[in-house]
Amino acid sequence: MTRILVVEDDPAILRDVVASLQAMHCLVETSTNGKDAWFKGDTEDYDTVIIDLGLPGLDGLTMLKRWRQNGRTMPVIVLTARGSWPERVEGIDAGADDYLGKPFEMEELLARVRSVLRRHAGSGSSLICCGDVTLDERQMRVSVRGVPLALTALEYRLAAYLLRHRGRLVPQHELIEHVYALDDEPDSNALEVLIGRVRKKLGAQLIETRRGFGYIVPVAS
Amino acid sequence: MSGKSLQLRLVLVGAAALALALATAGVALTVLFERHVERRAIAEADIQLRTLVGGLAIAQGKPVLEAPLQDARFDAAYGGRYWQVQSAGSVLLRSRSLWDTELTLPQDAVPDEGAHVHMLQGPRGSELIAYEREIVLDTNGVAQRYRVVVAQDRGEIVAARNDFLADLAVALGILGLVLTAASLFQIRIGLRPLISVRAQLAEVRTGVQPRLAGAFPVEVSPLVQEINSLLDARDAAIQRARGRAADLAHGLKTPLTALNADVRRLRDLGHGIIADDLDRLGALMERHVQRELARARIAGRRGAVPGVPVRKIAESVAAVIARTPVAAGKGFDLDIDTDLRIAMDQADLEELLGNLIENASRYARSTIRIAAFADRAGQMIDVSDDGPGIAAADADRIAERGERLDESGGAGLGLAITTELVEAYGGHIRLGPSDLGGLMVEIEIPNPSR
Repeated sequence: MTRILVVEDDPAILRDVVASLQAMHCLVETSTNGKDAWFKGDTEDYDTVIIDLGLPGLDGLTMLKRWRQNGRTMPVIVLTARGSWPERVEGIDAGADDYLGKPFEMEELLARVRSVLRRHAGSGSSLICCGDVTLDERQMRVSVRGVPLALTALEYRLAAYLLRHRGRLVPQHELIEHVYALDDEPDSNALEVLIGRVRKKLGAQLIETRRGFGYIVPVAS
Repeated sequence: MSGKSLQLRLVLVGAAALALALATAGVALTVLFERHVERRAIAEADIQLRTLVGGLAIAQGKPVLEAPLQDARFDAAYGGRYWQVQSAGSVLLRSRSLWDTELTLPQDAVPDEGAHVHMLQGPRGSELIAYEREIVLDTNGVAQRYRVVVAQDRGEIVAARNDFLADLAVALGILGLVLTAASLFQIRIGLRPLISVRAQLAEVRTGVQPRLAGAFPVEVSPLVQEINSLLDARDAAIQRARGRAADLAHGLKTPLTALNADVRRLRDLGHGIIADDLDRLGALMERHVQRELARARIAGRRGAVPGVPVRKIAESVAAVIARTPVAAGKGFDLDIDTDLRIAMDQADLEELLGNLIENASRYARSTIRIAAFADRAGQMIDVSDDGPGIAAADADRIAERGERLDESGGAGLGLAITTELVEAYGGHIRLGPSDLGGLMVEIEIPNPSR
């Protein structure tokens, strides 16, 4: 059963959120105070935590930062009335997984909860990280510093193959074999052009060229 | 004059003082010169008088000049040098230069053997400076008193003085020009801190620098400090306004969320019409609150040089949006140089990009592209999507009034805030078709004007 902690000091909102989550068959625990919530989040395992930023005792952002410093990785959804973009960016930087401005529709919150649960359940095994670049094979997407990139199928196949085999020198013919379809005979320049496009999107230093041998994504980068 | 130019005022006062000083110097020098020339003339007359007296002898009871004076001007008619010997009112001897006239000496008491100077009326209306001495000669055993006078035309002295004055005027004129140039230079140097203050204030106004900085002279630095305090007070006021806006947000948004919950309960109880009505009112209030809050947050101030890094901020904002359902399964294409910077307040740029990217994500099918570049006039930010796009006629309407195409999406509000933000920086916003197939919103932020 999904276990969720809701931290909110407004009783009306708290009641409503709890009722909606319980209707989703979640096991819901609540807290109305920052210090108490911090202790619960630090000691108990939750599948998701929903926190309000303006809390008595300890403010939400500080609480979140402390959890992350202690290595607590549960997904956190932040609810706040202070919904300006700088505040949202600050919240995500502090370690929040999602950010929802008040006033919100309950359906929206439930959709976000389902979304972070899905993301979190699938992550770990299917993620390959290499510096700023993350390959999510289950969702078939590459992200740089948390921003999922718009890649064509060819670009994705190339990036994914090199990232999967990071630290190994991949010869040109092998790369062509795995990136292009069998009956697609690429001309000699096509691969280099493709590499150039991928470099532009992922960062120039990710893929190194070993002239005459092939390409490599160094493990260190 | 007082209201116009400090520099002009200083120049005019300086020039007037200089002119007065030079005129006084000119008059004083001329007077001194004239007195000097007169003294020289009297000294010369004294010698001539002694020579004259030395050449006098008494023959048959009358004085005669045995040795004539060397100076030819005593012999030429109206030659400018005159002498005369008289006794008891009657002229006994006189120079040839007097021709048919006589010098009329004033009847004044003359000390024994003493010499004194007269200003006399000379021949043909000329003015003379006369040097007179009374001598006693033994005439037929009687000690007879004679008045001997040597005179010179004052015109010579006046002419010498006028020549001197003409030369002096040229010299003083040149001196005046040099001193004026020096005072202009001095004013320039002296006013330079004020000019610097003005230039720096312009930079503060356009956001190039936050405060007046640098070393100023003691006379100017209180002014600079006052201006900086004023700027601090202004910043504090903006901060307070932003803080109040945030408090207002907190105060209004939480009840609005609770209101949403009540609406749901009403609907569950079967009061659908009342629920719809409240829902609509709640949405309207939310819209107003958000718009006013966003307005209050706009700083419209350009941050410190060299500005904020566009790519880094675009990445942060895109990373936030990538986590929300509107961007699920969609990818971003960032075409921004790592070192591109824009002269904007960071919070403003985050708000701008947040609204535009969220909007594009909402309508995009798979791709959102954020491009930014700088040219000579300023910086351009393009946010494009591959969504359905909008008709050209709608584009102007949306950009102008931030009207919403899709009432439920909340996109129009973001665009309205963006428009106000861009205008706060004197920029422009344009909507048009994107080469990805959807809408492209193009923002142009001009460089700070000087």
